[in-house]
Amino acid sequence: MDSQVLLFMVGEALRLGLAAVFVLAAYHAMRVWTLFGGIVEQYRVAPRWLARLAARILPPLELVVAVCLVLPATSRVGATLGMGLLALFTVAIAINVARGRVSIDCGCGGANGQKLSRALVVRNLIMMLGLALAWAAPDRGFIDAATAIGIMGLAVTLTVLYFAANQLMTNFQASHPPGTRTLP
Amino acid sequence: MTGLLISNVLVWIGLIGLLLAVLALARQVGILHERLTPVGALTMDHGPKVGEPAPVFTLSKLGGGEISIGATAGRSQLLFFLSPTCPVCKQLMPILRSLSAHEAASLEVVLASDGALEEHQRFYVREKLAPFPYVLSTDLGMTFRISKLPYAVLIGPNGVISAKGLINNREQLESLVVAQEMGVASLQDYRAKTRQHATARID
Repeated sequence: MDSQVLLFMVGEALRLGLAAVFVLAAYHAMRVWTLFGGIVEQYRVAPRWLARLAARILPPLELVVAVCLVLPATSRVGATLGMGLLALFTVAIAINVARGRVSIDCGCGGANGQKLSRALVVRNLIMMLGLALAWAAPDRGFIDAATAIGIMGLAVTLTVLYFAANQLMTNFQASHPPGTRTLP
Repeated sequence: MTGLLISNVLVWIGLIGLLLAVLALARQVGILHERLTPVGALTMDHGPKVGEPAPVFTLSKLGGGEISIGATAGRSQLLFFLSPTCPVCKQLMPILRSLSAHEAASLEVVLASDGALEEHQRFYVREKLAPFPYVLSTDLGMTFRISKLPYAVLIGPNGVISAKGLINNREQLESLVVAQEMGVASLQDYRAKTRQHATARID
């Protein structure tokens, strides 16, 4: 077995899967665009005008990342830009987790009402690792049907897994709200 | 080679189908969480209100001796109204036992009922209720306006009623203690407050 083939397949799947995640994140943010401004503001990491501006710019930027990732010629640009965006989000989340302001809305889209947590920071770091792998993956010209099927399958699997993990994180927060306890 | 390719496709379809099922299940759990949120004991607006001083009683216990209700010295008191004929009350006994055993330093669980003494004596012996103070008083039930069972009233260490409600399960019993710790009358009250807070934040 050729390790280059494995790396190529994983890289391609990550590229496509993460592109789908970025598209869906942008879609969820744009659907509630006015509310999204308030969510960004709640992070309290930037002055009000900058937060409002960021809320206008970030969703289209996520779409740009997705398009760049899908097009083979610009996939490395997309991966770099995506890592930059994720780094920005992760820092903002980590600052608020450190402040103890974990009850604010994540604004991650997908699972509604997701709150901040340390798990969210870990999730973002894993996504950044995925983008790095996609960036570093080797190129291949011709691929056969089995490889294509494997890549598509893995890409869809990764996307669905991402949303399932997100939902499970949200469920966990709902069943363990801060400030409650169970009797012996 | 064709067989391998076809089986590969089938396996991917199966895997993705399973994952979609997991995602759907997780979403359903999330929706259930949203619907279930007010699990607190249901308070009925009768009798002394939460935040008011509890009426003080001195009653004789079933096993002998006296106990004062409402005049607690530094400990919280959980009045649990029950009846020998109420099946839910019996279901809750193990939870009350563990609660009174684990929180003995800060909480006293008192069982309260009314009716014929012999019936309660039999119930007391059969259900092995000796660890609990057990009082019989129609007056007590009337004062707290108990109309449904099992009902619990939590009196704080300062003699003020800190939470009360109809109790049907463990979660509702827990909610009384949580409501006391959080300084809210009931979890419905807490929910209403946080909801106002959340709307204010969005505005």
